[in-house]
Order: sequence, then C-alpha cells, then structure tokens
Amino acid sequence: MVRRVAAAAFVVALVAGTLAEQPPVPRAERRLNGYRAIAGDFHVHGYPADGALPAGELAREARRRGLDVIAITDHNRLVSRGSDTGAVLILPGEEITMSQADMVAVGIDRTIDWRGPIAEIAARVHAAGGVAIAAHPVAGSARAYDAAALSSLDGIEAAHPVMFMNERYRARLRDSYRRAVARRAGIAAMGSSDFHFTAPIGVCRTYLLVTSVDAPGVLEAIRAGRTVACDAHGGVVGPTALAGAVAPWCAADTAAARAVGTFTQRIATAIVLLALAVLAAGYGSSVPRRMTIATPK
Amino acid sequence: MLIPLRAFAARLVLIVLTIACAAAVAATGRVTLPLLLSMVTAWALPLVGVQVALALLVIGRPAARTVGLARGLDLFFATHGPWSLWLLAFAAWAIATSPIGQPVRTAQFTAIVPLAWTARLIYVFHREVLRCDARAALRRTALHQALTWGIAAVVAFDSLWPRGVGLWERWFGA
Repeated sequence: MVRRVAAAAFVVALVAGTLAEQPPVPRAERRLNGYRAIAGDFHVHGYPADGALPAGELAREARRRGLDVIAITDHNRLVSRGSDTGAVLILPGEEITMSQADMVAVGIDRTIDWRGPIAEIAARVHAAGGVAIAAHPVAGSARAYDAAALSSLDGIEAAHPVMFMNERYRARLRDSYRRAVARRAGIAAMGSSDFHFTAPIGVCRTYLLVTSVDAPGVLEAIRAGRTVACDAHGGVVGPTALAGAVAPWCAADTAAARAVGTFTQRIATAIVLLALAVLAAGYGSSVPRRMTIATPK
Repeated sequence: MLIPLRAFAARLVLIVLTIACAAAVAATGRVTLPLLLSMVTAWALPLVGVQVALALLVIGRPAARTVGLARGLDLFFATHGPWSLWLLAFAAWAIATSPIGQPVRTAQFTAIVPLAWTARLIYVFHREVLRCDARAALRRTALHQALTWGIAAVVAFDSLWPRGVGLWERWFGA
C-alpha cells in the first residue's frame, strides 16, 4: 500500500513539475557604450565527459539561468564543435589540464596538447583560433602562472565558486587577477561556474560587450578585455568604469538565477525525492531477513 | 517464475529512476519528464547496464545459486539500497543548501557509508544466496567491487592523469 502511494506520488509530482516549467522570460536587450551586453559562462563541463548534462540540456539550463553564451570545456579534448540554438550560443572549448595548472581554451578548432610550458600552450590555443584563459588560479596553479605565463593569456578567471570555499582562495584569486593586470592591462576578467554536477551553470558569470552575438564577436570582446567577472553574490571584477556599469545587472541576474524555478516545481521535486526514498527503503524490506548486515552464522 | 522476474524488473526501474532523478536534481534543482528521459539515457541506463553485466558474471552459473536467476538478480540488486538512499540524500542536500562555497568534497566523503554497507551486503549475498564459504565470499566481493570502482577510476583518470605526471616529475625529476 505504502509503495503504491509512493509510486503514485512520484508520477503526479513528476507531471506537476513538468507542467510547472515556465519558459525563461525574454530579457530586454542591454546596451552599453554602443555595444551589446551579454552574459556568458566559458567553463562548463558536459556529458559524455565529466559533466552531468548533455549539450542540449546544458543549453536549456543556461537559458533558464539567463545566459546568452556558454563554452563546453571538457578535460584535454575537444568534445563539442559548438552550435547556436537560437537562444544560447555554444562555443567549442577545452579545459587543458596540465601537470600543475589548468587553462580554458575557448573557440578552438582542435584539441590542444597539454604538454609544455604555459606560454607555448597558449600559443597553440591562439593558432587554433581560440582565446586562452587561466582557470581558477589558486594554490599551486597560481604559482604556475608566472610572469611569462600571464603575459601569454587573453583572460583570467577572477570569479569562480572556489572563492567561496575559504578566504584564502578568494584572496589568491583576486591576487592572481591583480598580477595579471599588472603584466597585461587589457586582460579579460572572467567569471565561470566550472559546472560539473552541482554549483549551477552561471553561478559565476562573465559579462561581455560585443559587436555581434556570434563566435567571432564573443572572442573579439575577450581579446579586447571588454569583460567583467560577476560572482554569485553580485560582486564584480574588471575595468573600473565597466565594472561599475555592469554591477546592477550582475546583482539582478544572480538574484534571479538563485530564485529560478517555480514554487510548484520545488514542491514537486521534494515529493519526487521523498517518494523515491520511500520506495528504495521499502524495496529493501523485500530482501530476506537473513540477508542483512548481521553476521551470517 | 513471472513474479521474481517482475520484482527484478521493478527494482531495476526504481534504481534507474533514482540515479536519473538524483543527477537531474543535483545538476538543475528540479526534475521534468524531458530532463528525466535525458538523464536516464545518459547516466542511468549505462551505469545499470554495467552492473547487470557484472551481476551476471557473479551469479550466472545455476549450480552456484540457491534461487532462480531472476530472484538471484533481484536479491543482488537489493544491495543497491544504500547507494540509492545516499544519491537521494546528496541531491536533497545539493538543492537545500545551495552548494556555492559548501564543502562538496565533505559531502562526497559520506559516500564511504554506502560503499562499506553495500560491500557488506554483497558479501552476505555470496554467503546466503551463493552458499560461498567466508573466504570465497570475501574474494568474490573484493573482485566485484574492484571491477566496479576500477571502471570509475579509469574514467576519472582520463581527466586527471596530467596531474599524476606532474607529481611524478616533481618526485623523480623526470
């Protein structure tokens, strides 16, 4: 009886959650200094690598969280060739996992070999048509990004979920950005989610001022440094005037992303999980009594 | 014969739905029918398929079993209980606490509970259902777990082996 009720609750909640899904409200086009302002997440992992979601679901989730562009960046291989779903632009990319640091390559047309000095790897990224971005430069990877390496980059992650783990990582991330700016004044400040299985897409994001919403337009904005990194709590990092102008959008969009999903969906999700837990525990009781954790005689 | 087969099929469906729902909720905070179907195809079916193949290796020989094949498979997959509950708890934690800045690794560390519990249940399965002696049961359980986690390790190693190279170079100056 309990199992039947749980199964029925599961089905009803699943249907309710599906019907309660609302399409994202179209946002008014944002413009600043003659450019179109868009939001992106350039460090996202996807299935079938070590990300939870396939490309189609990534695009849907990105749209749901108010992003205009994402880059699928799986470890040491180019998996996605990119696409334009109409709602979200998907760029090809790779997270080049090196022996001491990681680099995100966006807009490349081939897999980049991870061996060699960082500056050499960045040159390969450029030769493949992409931009080279230092990924979460904290701890050992911050040390690996020395002056020569920083000079070879187009961008550096200045907002990343790692900054919320402890104050030391937050300070190191900001310090890495300051060192990068000291080496190259126009380096792009990037915000990324590094989405794998949790920590939502776009939890940290990048605002870009683009001439066109396509791959060439996005890459040109990164190369020109017309970006602002936005963290999950509405904090911004980037060129002072630009960061100040983007700050209200960052605050509004991160608040909206936290509240995404309807009340009905939240209740439905809770019921789905509870119903499955009841069923899982209930099926456990169908195991013969002796087949438990008790020591067999 | 139909009843054990139906019970086994129902248990497999439950495990598939649990894996898919937990993955969907942890990744997006909700579960809808299209998302569920996507996660079933991407994650749940391949994972369960591998486990079915391993289970058949373990309990395929009729002489070794005290029950029919369907009942044996049903009992074997009952050992997934602890993992099912952990996956659901992790998904609930992921959306309840918003893992920004949360120690996800600490939460992942709690997986040691279902890991140990499931291994224990598989051991008991070998003793009770396959009538193995203690040593054989221990050996076969270790082999099954090594195969299961070995496959996972190969997948993880694929992303992380440059770090291993870095450590090797630092230690041995290669």
